[in-house]
Amino acid sequence: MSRRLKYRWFAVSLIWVLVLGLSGWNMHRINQVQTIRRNLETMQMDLRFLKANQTTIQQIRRQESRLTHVVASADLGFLVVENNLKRLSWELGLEKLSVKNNTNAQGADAMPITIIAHGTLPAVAGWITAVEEAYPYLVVKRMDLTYEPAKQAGRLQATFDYHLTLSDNNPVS
Amino acid sequence: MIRRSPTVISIADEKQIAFLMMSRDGYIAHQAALPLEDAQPDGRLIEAVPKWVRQATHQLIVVPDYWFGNHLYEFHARKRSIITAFIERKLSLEQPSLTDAANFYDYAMVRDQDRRQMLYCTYLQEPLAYALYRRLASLAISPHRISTPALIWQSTLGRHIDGFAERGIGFVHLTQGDCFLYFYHMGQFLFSRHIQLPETGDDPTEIHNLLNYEINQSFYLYSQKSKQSVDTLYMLAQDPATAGQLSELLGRDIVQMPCPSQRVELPDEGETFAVCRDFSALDLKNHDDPCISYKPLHKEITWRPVQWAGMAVGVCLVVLLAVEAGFLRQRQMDFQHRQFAMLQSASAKNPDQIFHELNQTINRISNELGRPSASDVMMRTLLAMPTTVALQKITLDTSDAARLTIDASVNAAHPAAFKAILDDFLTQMNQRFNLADRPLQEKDIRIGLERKAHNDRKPIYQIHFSFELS
Repeated sequence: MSRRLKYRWFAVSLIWVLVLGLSGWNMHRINQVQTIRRNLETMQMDLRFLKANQTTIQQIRRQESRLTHVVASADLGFLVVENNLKRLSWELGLEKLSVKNNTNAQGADAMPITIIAHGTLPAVAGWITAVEEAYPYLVVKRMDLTYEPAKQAGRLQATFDYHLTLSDNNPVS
Repeated sequence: MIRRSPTVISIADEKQIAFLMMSRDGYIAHQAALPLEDAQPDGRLIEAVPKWVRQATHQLIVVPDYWFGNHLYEFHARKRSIITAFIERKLSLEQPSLTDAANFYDYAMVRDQDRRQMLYCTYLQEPLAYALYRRLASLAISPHRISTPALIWQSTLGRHIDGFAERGIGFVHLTQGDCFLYFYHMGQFLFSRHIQLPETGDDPTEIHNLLNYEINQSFYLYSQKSKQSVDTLYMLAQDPATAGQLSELLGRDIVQMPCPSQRVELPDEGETFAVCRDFSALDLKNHDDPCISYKPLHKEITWRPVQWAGMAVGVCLVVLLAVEAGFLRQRQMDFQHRQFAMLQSASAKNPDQIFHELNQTINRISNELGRPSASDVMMRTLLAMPTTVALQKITLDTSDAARLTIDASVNAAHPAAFKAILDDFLTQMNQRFNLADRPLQEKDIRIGLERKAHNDRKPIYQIHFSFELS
């Protein structure tokens, strides 16, 4: 094969390799552009959805925020909970309420709190209802209610999971 | 518009080589003749070849007929690779001194009068031709085609004579001072002769006698070479009467060829173009004439349009694809900027992240809402209890699957009354806790009996049961 023929074949091959390379590169670019375009459209739809449902989302967030007690420290949070539970017990006629926490659970998302109280059945039921409504971050894990019908006296022993989040800025309430 | 380079045609004999450049309409634009000694390796051909020759495409070189040899073989195969291998082997055996002969041959498949397939092979047999070709190649003016006057006449005669390929044809070309005899067998050139005519003044008898002798000798040679006789003799002469006179001498008919008129003749400069006398410039430009091409060059020329087309199409595609690549890059950057701007204007968080967090929040809320409420469980239990049932202990465990355990006492006068109370209690429990799928039944209840010391007629039934809250 003459040298010129070889050179021309080499040039033809080189050009077509370039053509194939550019085709491949462009296909890759087209895929990238398609992906970005899809992402952009999805993002636009997401943003529209978020804007349209802002109120609902805020409600959900508020509801979620009620499931966790934001406090500066676990001890401080426990004091607040103890105080609130005792205040409710006084208001609803529950007697001898003792509140204890499990100090081993420091640092976890939920702190187990055990209470023991005495009272009538309506008082116990009212207290439990009030606690669940007022403090959603206190979740009943176990409840034992012993009742003596003759004396109309009940003994409640309950274990709550106290869900708390430690924060530097949030005031205790 | 692509400007094609001008073409040059050369005519060579053992003494000199002449170059002709023809215009598009076939007229001679340039011409130059050089002695062939200049073409020797130590010659001055490089300096002598005019610039217009070196800048042009050397289309054709016309060499004397005897520079070409030919053979005729009976050959049955038609496959190109077999034919070329056969010819190259034959050439190397018959012409061992011509080492490059395998690159300078051509062939044609013909059929003789008995319809046998024959292989006609023509090749370059003159060592001077090889030297000349190499010299021209070193100047980058290799001729694309190599031909001879006989082959050019073969093409011309083939166009004018019916049955040229089936008959034995002789052709007498009579010019002013020369006569050329050409003989063709089965449409292929067999041999030619050049006869120098004597000066005879106005009396052509001597010339006719000489031609009569030479033509008869040639007939004899033709019979030896082809094992056949010449069927028809054609003649081209300035004087139409010559054919008649010669016909009488030969004792056979001679067909007078029409004199080529209104044609652009090659320049008549002494002996320079003698072999090509009566050819028009257009005859030489005819690319369909039988010829020999240097094989590698022929291959290169054959592939050249394909290669250029490949390069042109490829370059066009590269340009288009490059433009497309630029457009896509621009488009990609636009989208990226828009995405970035949208993220900046929207909020600190990506919507995906917001949705992920929202999903987690909803899951958590669902879990919390799905957990049974202690107050709710207590209220349902109390509401389900008939007045004759006294609650003793209620235990709710929600650590894994929520489970409710109840201990109670039932005051009933007799077992039937107890059963009725128990049925009522269980029915209420099933309704209040939606236990339709797995309802509480009497068999699920553990029953004990307690009798008081002072009144053993009124027993107290102790019941204990436990179930999972769905």
